[in-house]
Amino acid sequence: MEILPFVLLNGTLFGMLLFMLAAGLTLIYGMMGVINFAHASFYMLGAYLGYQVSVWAGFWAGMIVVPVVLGLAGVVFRRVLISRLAIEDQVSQLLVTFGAAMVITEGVQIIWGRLAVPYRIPEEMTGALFNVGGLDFPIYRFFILVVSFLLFAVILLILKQTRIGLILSAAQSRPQMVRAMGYDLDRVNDWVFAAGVAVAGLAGVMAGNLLGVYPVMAERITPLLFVIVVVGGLGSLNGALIVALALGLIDTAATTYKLSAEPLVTALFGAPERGTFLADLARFNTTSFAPILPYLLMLIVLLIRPRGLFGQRDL
Amino acid sequence: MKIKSLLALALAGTTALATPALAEGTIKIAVIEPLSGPLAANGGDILERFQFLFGRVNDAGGVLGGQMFEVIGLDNGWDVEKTAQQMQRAADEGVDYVINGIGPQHATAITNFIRKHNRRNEGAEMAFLAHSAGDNAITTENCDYYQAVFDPTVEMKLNALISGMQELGIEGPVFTINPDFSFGQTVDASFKELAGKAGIEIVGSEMIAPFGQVQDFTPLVARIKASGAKVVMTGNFGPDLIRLLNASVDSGLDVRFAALYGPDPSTMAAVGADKFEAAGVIAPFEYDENDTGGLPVLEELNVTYREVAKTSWGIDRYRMLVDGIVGAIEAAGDAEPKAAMGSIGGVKLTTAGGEGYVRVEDNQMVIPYFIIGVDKAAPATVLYKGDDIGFGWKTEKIIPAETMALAPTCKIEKP
Amino acid sequence: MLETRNLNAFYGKSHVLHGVGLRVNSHEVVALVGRNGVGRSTLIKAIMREVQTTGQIIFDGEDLAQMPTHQVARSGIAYVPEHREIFAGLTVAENLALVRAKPRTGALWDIARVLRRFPNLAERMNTDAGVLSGGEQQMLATARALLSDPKLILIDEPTEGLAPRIVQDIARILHELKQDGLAILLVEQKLDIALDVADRIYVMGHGDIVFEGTPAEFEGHPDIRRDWLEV
Repeated sequence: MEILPFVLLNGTLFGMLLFMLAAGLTLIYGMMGVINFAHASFYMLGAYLGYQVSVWAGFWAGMIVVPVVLGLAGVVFRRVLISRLAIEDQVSQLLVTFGAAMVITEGVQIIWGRLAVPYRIPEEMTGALFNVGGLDFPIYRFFILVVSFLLFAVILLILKQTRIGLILSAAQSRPQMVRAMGYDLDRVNDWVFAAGVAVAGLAGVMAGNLLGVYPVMAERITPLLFVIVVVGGLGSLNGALIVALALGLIDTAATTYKLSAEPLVTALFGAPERGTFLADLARFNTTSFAPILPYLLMLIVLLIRPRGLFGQRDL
Repeated sequence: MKIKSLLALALAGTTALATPALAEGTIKIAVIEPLSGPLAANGGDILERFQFLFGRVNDAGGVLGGQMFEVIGLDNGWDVEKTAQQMQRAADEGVDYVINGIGPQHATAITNFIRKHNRRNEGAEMAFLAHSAGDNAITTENCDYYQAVFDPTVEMKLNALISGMQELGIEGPVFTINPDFSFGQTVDASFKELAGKAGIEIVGSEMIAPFGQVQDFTPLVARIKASGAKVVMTGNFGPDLIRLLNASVDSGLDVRFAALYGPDPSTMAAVGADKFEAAGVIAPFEYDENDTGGLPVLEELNVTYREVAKTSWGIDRYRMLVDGIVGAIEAAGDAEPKAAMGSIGGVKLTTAGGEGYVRVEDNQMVIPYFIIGVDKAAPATVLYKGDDIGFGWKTEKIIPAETMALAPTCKIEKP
Repeated sequence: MLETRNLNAFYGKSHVLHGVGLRVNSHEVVALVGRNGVGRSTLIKAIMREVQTTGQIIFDGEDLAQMPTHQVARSGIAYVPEHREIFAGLTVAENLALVRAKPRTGALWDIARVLRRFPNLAERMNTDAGVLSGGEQQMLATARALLSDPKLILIDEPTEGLAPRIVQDIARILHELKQDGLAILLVEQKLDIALDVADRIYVMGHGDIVFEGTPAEFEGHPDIRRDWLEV
C-alpha cells in the first residue's frame, strides 16, 4: 500500500494526457458535429515534430513552435476536408478522417522511418523530484502534470468566464441562431479546431519522449479516446475530464494490484487441471483484463445511457 | 486471344521489372522478407546485408572454382499468404536456397511449402536457411534435411543468459515481463523452466499486450518494486521495451534488465546511453562489435559495411549463414541443395567467440554466445541511420559452445 | 430599405419560392400572411441566408443574396425566429450578453432600455433561459434582437403556441416597436393582429405573393381572404 501515492500520481498523469487529446476531440464534435478519427494523428505529429524541433532548436522551442504549426495545419485540415462534410453524413466523415489518419501515418514513416526516433527528455528535466514508497517521481512527469492542469484551468476559464465560452456553448445547441446574431461560425470553428489540434500536438510533444515516438502511436491511442468521449458524452468537456482521469486511474490500479481469480477458483473447485475451463477461469486477472476494461465500460454506458454520462444528446 | 497474350506480356513485363530475370548457371538465393509495410525497414536491411555478403563471396571468386551466387529479394509484406505466393514464384524462377527470419509464421509457411515442393520435384529441390530461430520449432520439432537454422533457439539463448547471469553474480529474484503472443509465451515458459533448474527465484511475472498497446508502464514498475525483484528478464521489444526502460529508470527502480532485444539500435537510440546504463542492461547476443576476437573478417566488416550502408555491422549471424552454405557447397563439391544440404551439418564456423558449427543431428547452428553489457565509453559506437547513437556494448561473458549446445530434440532423416 | 427581386428558394430539389418580389420601407411594419406551408417562413429564412436561393435581396443598396448569414446580421437585420431559438442552458443575462457589440454608433437600444421595455426579464436575469415560459422566451428573443440595434427586424410567428392573454402582450409589444420607428417584417398567423399592426400586408399563396396592399385595401378584397387565407 505504500506505493499507492505513486500509483495515484502516475494514473492521474496518464489520465491528464488522455484528457488533452479527448478535450479537442469532444469540443470539435460539439461545435462541428464531426467525429475526427484523425485527431490522434495530430498527437503523433506533435511527437514527431517535437523530436525534429528538439534536434534543431531544443525541447523548449518545440513546446511553443509545434502547437502553433499544428494549429495552423489544423485550420487547413478543417477547411480542406472537414468543412465539406455534412453533419448527417457520418459514413463520409468516417471515411475521410480515417483516410486522413492513414495518410498521416504513412507520411510520418516516409519522413522519419518506421522505427522509433530518439526523442529524449530534456537534460534539465531529468532526475527525480521526490520519492514515494521507494520509487522516484521524475521531474519531467511532474512537469507534464503541471502543464496539463494549467491547460485545463485555462480551457475552463475561457469556457466559463469569457464571451468565447458563451459563444461556444450557444453554438453547440443552436449554431444557426448564433450565425443569425452576426457571428462568423466558420471563423470560430477554425479557432476551435486549431486549439483542439494544438493541444493534442502539445500532448505529443510532452508525451513523445516519455512513451516513445513511432508510427503506430496514433492508432494505439485512438480507441481509448473514443471510449472517453463516448462514455463522457459527446461534446462534454467535463465528461471527458472525468472519464479520462478514471480510465487513467483504473488502468493503473488494475495493473498494479493484480487480482487473480486463481485463489478463488482453487478454493471453490480445487487446483484446476491444465487445459480445462476452470484453468482458463483461474488465469483471469485484473492485469490482463485492464486493456479490455475501457471497452466494457463503453458497452455498459451505451446500453444504459446512450448519450454518455454528461452528454446532451443521444448518439 | 490477342488480349490474353497482351495481358500475359504485360504481366511478364511487370514481373521482369520487379525482379531482374535470373541468369543461367548461378546459385540462386531468394531473401523473402517484408520489403513493404510496417517492417519494411527491417526486411530491407536484411536483404542489403545478404546482397553485401554474397557479393563478397562472388568478388573472391565464388564457390567451386568460379560458380557465382545471385541474390533476389521477394517481398512478403509480412503476410503469410504472400510468403506462400513468393515461394511459388521462387520455385518457378529456379531458386535453390530461400532465406527468411522475420516472423515464425512465415518460417512455418516456407517449411511446409518446401516439403511439398521437394516431394514433387525431384532434381529441383529447394532448401530453407533460417537466420532467426524465433519461437518456431524449425530444429527442435520439425527438423528437415532441407533446412538449417543459423540462430540459437530460444532455449539456447535463455540458457546462455542464465549461465551468464550466474557467472556475473546477477541472480537476485527475477521478475519476467514478456509480450503476450507465441514468441513471448515461449520465452516466458522456457525462462521459468531453466531458472527453476538453476535455482533462480522468480518473484513475479507479467505477459503484456505487445506492440505499444500498453501506454503506461509505471504500474508494472510499482509491481516490480513491491515484488522485491532485483532482475527483470524481458523479451519485449520496440515501443514496449522503450516504455518499460524509461518508466523503470525514471522511477529509480533499482533492478538490472536482462533484455533479449536490448541491442536493437532504434531502442538504444530512443532510450539513450544514460538510461541503458542506469538500467544495467545485459543481453545475450551473437556478437559484440567491440570484441571481434581478433577475427580479420570482422575487423574488415566493421569498417567496410559502415562505409557502404551507414550502419554498423552489429549483427553477425548472417555472415555465419553465408559461411555455412558456402562451406557446405565446397564440402559437397556440388551447389545443388540435394547434395550441399547433406554436408551442412558438420560445417565449422569461425565466430568472434571462438569456433562454432552446424550440428549434424538437426542442422542447428551452435556457436559461443556473448553476454553483453552497456558501455558508454565503447570505442566503436553503433550507428543508426548514419547517426552516432553515442554508446555501444562490452563483452561481459562469453558462453562457450559446449554450454550452448543443449541436447538435440530432433533427428534429421536423410532422403 | 429591403426589396427582394425574383426570389426563388429551394429545399434540396423542392422549389419553395417562385420569384417573390417584396418590399419593406424604412419605419414600416409589413405583415406577411398566408396559409401554412405557402413559404412565409422560408422567405424569412431566405433573407437570413439559411436556404438556397436565386434572385436578389437588396438591403440598403447591397445584395444580401451574396452574403453568408453572419454578414446579413451585421448589415443591420435582426431575426426573431419561429421557435424563438433562445439558448437553454445559459441564463437570461448570458443570452443577452451574447449579442454582438454594436457596429453602428449612437446606439438606440442599450441593456437598460431593453429591460425597461421587458420588466419580466429584468426580474429573471439569472434564470436558466430554458425554464422561462413561452411568452417570456418570446420576449427574450425579441429583447435579444433589439439589443443589436437593428434597422430591420424579422419576426416569425411571435404568438404561436401562446396563451390568449400572452398573445395580447405580444401584440402590445409589436405596437410599441412600431412606435419606436423600427422597420419590421412580421410573419403572423393571427390575421387580426397582423391587420392591426401592419402598414402594409402581403398575402402569400403557393410560394408567391398573391396580394399586396394596406389593411384597408385588403378589407376591400373579401375574395382574397376567402381564396388564400380561410381554411
